Amino acid sequence: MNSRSRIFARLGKSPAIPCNSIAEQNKAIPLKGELNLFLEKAKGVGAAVATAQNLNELRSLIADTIVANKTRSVVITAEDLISDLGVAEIAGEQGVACDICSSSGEEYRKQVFKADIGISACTHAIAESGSVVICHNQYNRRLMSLAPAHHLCILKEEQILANRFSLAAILNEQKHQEKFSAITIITGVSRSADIAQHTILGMHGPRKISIFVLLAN
Amino acid sequence: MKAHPEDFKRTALQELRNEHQRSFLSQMSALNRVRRGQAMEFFGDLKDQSHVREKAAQIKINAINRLPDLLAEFELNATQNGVQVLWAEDAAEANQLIESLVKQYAVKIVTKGKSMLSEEIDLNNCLEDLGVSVFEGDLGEFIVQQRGTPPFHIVGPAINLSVPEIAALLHEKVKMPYTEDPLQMADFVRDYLRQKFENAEMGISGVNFAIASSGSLLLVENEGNIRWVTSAPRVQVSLMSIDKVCPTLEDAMQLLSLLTLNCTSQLMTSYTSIINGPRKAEELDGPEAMYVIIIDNGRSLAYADEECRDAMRCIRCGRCLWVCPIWLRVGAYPYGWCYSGPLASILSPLLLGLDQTQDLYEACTLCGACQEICPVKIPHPELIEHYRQLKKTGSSTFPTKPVSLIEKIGFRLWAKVVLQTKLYQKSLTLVSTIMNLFTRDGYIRHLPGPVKGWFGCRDLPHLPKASFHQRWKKEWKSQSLQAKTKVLKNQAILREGDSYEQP
Repeated sequence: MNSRSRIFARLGKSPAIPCNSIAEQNKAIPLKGELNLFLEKAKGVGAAVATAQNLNELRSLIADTIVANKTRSVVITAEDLISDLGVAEIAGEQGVACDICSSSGEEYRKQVFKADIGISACTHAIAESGSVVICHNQYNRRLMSLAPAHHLCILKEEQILANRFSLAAILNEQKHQEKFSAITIITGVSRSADIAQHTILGMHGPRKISIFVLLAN
Repeated sequence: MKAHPEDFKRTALQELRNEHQRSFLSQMSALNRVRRGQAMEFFGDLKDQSHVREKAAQIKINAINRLPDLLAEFELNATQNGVQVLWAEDAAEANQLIESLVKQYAVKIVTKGKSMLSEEIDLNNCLEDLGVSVFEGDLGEFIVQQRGTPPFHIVGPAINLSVPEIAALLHEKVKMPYTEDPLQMADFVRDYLRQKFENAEMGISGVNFAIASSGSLLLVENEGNIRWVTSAPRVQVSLMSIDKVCPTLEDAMQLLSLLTLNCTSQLMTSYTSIINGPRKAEELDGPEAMYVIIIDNGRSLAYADEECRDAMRCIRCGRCLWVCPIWLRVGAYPYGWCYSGPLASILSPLLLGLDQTQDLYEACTLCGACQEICPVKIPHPELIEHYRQLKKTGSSTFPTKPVSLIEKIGFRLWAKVVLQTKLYQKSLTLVSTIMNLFTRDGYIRHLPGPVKGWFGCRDLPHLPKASFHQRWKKEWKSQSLQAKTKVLKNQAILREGDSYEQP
């Protein structure tokens, strides 16, 4: 008998009681979230937010951010939206080094660790908390929204969900083989109050997060 | 961390002299009450909040009742996701498993996210004995790691330390250029730990919720240290106790908001990570190998006692500490382990045994403040009364030292006396006469024998010759029938028009 068997032997059998999951009660949850609520909540948690009517406006916002922060190097994810925007070209125009992080292993880590800004898209956003949701895969890697001091996240208005239960409902629909290895819900910047309750922004993650929303129309 | 809750009384006496700490905790408690109260208004008024808490309690009760099924379901789904699930019956086995992983992957540096379970199994000491450098990633945990003390609060491990104390500590232990500017101090730690995060071969985290239906882990934090330890190293090890399993992601989301609102007044903390498994072949970051070690450490034994299962509902928000009159006066250290306050009073006895932790649950005043604010409605006072009863009676699940012969005889005699009214009254007269012999300046301040301890911190006024019952009987007899009727009508014992009849 191994440890697992001994633990299960002590726990005994589960009683035949109906599953009391609240999932059933939340079937009628709204999926779509409100833009204004999202913007208000995201600002409330310390994110810099802006909206753009079209891709050109979005490009200008990105260029302004790169210039304003005296950026030396940028890393970008290999997502379609980021390619469509031509972020690499925007950075190039500003004389800033831009890595798409297509290299592997140590080279990739070096690029991410030295970058000033990490630019990524996101999969969803949550209006009630002002969060962006990043589903990590080979295109949107885990460290790119964590290691650089500034995270710039591009979001489409239609990606805004109402609340955390909307997100859970969508994630539940994913089949096993479609599952992302990790999903991160980012709500504002990294922070700590562990030194005598002083609020410190940018503890181990980015010190700044900017969220640019591309409006639906 | 070696547990020593048996030192509770001695350490509590020392801590009571720390007036600065008591005053600080009292102020923090008031602030916390306001902040958390406002945060909970997210759910509406008190009635709505109670409804949400009830729902959360039901989720946890359901999860705990179905624990064997949910654990098996989690294991199956996590394995399908590419996670290797290991089981440990106790701290020693958990440490052995981690030791073998450390050797297998030739690990020299480990970075950790805050995990009370790792404190529970004394993991840091085990790793250091193997020659591994261990770095706590959470700022508060990093500070207490340098200090060599247990976390003061489950959410704010170093909350009791002042800025100069932390500055001096970091200056001495990690050569931080001395500064009392919290921002500069945090910057130093950020840079110091960044190198460790980037170079660690293994990251160790705890688990907030393990989702059975998908085999995922849900982790919450504000600093980003957990994201680092689950993203940068080659190997990720997550430690979870058996009671962390939750049926679905929706259930976890319901509990999540209650956890974060009660912890830090946030609807969502800065980072919520849902980790499904190790990196996929085409991914460039995230761990190549991911292990979840499911640790029992006494919980399955406690599970056999249905009343004790209520303690396993705890979601570790730490809010109960801020309302506990004992914790607010003595602080965390007397509890002698990683858990303190009401959390320790209900959890430590199950994990360490009822004898070693007797002072913890005996110290409780049963005021019920913790139960009142608990987001999952744990009945702390009932649990503590249950432990006290178990301590006296013992059980196959919780063997306890037998009660001393003197105590046994004393209580038997007491039971006989209280059952016989006349004998009881006579003994009261005798006892009060004896006690009055010790009166000085109108007060009884000291008594010898078994009640010496009781009088160590309490005074009684000189006891009157007649008891209240005797005085009442005498005065009642002397009253006229009309007077008795008037008194009883005033007390609403008799209705208008009725009169008192002599029995």
